[in-house]
Amino acid sequence: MSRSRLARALRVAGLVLATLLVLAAAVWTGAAIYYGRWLEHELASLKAEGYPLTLAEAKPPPVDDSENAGLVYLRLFGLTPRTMHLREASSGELLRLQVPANVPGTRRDAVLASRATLSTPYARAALATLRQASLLPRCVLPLPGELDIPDAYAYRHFGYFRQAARLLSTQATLDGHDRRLPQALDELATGYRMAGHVAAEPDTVAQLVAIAIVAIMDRSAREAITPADLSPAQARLLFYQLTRTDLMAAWQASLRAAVAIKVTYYELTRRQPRAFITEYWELLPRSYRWRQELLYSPLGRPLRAGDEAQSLRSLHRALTDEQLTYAQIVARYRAEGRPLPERAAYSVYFRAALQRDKAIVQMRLLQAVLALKAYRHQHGRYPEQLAAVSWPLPGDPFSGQALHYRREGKGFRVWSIGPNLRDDGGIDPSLPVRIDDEGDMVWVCPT
Amino acid sequence: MTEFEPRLSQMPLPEPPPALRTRMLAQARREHRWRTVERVWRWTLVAAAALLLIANLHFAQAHEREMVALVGPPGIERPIETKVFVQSLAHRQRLLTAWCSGEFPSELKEERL
Repeated sequence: MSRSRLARALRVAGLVLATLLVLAAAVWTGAAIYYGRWLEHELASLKAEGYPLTLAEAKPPPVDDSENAGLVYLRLFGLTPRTMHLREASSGELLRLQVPANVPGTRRDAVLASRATLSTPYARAALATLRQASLLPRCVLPLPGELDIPDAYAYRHFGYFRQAARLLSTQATLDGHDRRLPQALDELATGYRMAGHVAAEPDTVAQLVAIAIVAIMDRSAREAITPADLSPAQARLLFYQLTRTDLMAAWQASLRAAVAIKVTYYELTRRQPRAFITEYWELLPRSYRWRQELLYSPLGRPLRAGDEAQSLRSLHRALTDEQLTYAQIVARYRAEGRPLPERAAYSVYFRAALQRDKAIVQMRLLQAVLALKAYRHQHGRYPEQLAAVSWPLPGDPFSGQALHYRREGKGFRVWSIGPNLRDDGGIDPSLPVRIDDEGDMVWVCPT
Repeated sequence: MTEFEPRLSQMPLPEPPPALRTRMLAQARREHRWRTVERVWRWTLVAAAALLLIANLHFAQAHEREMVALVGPPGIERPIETKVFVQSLAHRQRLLTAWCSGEFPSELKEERL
């Protein structure tokens, strides 16, 4: 090849290369503008609907220390707002108390065997502190990541809350067994108030822990209240306490905070992308990692904006669903011909909505039982219809109607249609294969 | 320089043979056209690159302004440590993913939510 032809070939190659670079830059710029606008649009639509976009907006309003139950709980747990996030914080005395776990079947014997544990000065003091804390109006704890502690680990306090619920539940069962009904009712009310306090933390995991506390308290409520004869005055206190523990409102507040947490996370990782890579690496599937490397490189900026916009849109849709009860969500899926979410990461909210509604049903069944017990105390027998009870009984979130009720001998059976959304006639379900295939949720009072 | 060379330089060159002349003219025209195209293309690329740069700068500024208007500066009372924040979110993600896949983490295990 002559020199002139080689020079010309090089010039052509240079031009082609430059053209490709300019074309790539044009595509990159177009993508940056398109996805950037999309992200702005998603954020603007969330903001227009009143969702908080910053942690400052999502954070519960400040509370005076003297009214903050969170600080009293933390003192009992041996934690502080700083150490509650520390992985290495030593286990407090509360966790070392031998109280029975919430395991069906073995629990009652274990509860009776734990009498000695509950009579120790520490256990008595802990119960008194829990009662005192639960009576405070607000519970405000630091949000995840709010404190600048290196190597922090969130949610350490939740283990203590569950242990506290087990302690209260065990004591309530013992008191019910020993016919100390006012004390049992007081411990149950403390447990439900504490569940409300935990649910006030605007976080999805906090909601699940609050649901867990309701499940723990439900077991002891059944054991203490089913055989009891309650006066209207005794029943009323716990009845109205349950009305005030609004898991649905707390759930919606936590979902609103989820938006702020997500947006803050995007803001932070935009500034320090390596923080994402190092912390989330092990959670990512291997085939997914190269994509994340690209997304969090400077070249991947437009794609990251698109990824964020897509993620916010999905969250927005999920949040819209979550304003509904589980039954309404299922109806909506079916009406749109969409399959119900299975066990995948995106089904967290769907699954949590089911558990939330189950906890709500557990509390509403307890309310119905309290009202029925109060009715019997006044009239000498249970009513033939649930509607005969004058107290304001909330409905069944799974059916959208009143709870089902039937007289049985001297007692009664009250039930919700449960997660399978089908009335099985108030029959106690056997252990279901799938969580959404559970049958009726039943409370039977034989006498 | 010999005497012959100035004389030769003053003499008109002989016309190339017609076949060769046509080929030479075509080649010259091609060369000219290519250089024009190359010049135009080069300046077009320069202009496009400049436009892209301006568009990028303009959009980046507008996007930044819009994001600050929507989201504001991140943080609560003080700047958040990114690592801490991401750690706590990663932990939460682990909990929720384990919960969804039926592998109940200790925080949620007992009640089989």
